[in-house]
Amino acid sequence: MKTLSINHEKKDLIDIIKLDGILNADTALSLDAILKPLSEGQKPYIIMDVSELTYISSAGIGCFIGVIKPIRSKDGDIYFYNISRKVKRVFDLLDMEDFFKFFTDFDEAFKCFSS
Amino acid sequence: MLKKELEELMTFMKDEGEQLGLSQVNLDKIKVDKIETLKFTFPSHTSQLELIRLVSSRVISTLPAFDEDDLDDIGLAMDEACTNIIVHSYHENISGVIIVKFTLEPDKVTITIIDKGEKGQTFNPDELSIVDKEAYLSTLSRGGLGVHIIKKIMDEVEYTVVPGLHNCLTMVKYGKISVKK
Repeated sequence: MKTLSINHEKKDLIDIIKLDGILNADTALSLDAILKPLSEGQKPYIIMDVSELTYISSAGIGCFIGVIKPIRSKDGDIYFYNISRKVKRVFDLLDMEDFFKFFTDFDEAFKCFSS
Repeated sequence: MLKKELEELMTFMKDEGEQLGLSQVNLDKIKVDKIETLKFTFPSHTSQLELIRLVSSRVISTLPAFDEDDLDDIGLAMDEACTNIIVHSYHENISGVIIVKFTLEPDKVTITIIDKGEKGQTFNPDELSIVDKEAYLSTLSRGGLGVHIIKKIMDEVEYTVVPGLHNCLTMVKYGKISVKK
């Protein structure tokens, strides 16, 4: 059974989290465990690399919604890099297409935070 | 019912109809639709969700009127419905079961999901407000998203509670691709 693997690295104050697999109510807890402490940091700049994320449910999107308020209150943000059409559709179904920033160019997302 | 049995039934109906003196015009108007029903019982645990989603998409893929996007959407709706049952209705009590019944017609699927969770007895999906982005921010609410997705994907959604017995979610989806009957 496919699950979720998470790779977390930090580069120039930006947290890059790469997801590989599926993000549903079963796997969301492991991402929560990473995002929650990051949201409590001083200036959370997070890039979610979702190139290899094949599926997301509302429980998965809930991981981001659950931390976005404290993150944005400190001028931080969560950007998404390389989202697939199928995964993006779930954001669209929740009318969240403008709520998060989606990038197809990793450097552009990186620059957005660096500036 | 096997194909051979169905053909025998059709012949029987035609013969009996003729013996009863029914006109050929009226006999030709009789329509028979073969409807298949599949029933699954899953344990109420989040580890089952991905399997439920994959199996649901696979079941619907046997119907000619549904395309790839429909299969993904229905799989998602199933995940959302079963997540709500596991997390909210059974309150993560893993001894519960989720009964899923698919009624399959060429251009329509009716999915009935039954659970016996205590919390589901007092659940009313109509009370959940429409997803509001500002409300997310002010309340950090993560609930209600699943119901919103289900209502967007499926053509008909009904939730009924039989007090003391079970909770039942019925979802209907019509296929977009026209099917020659």
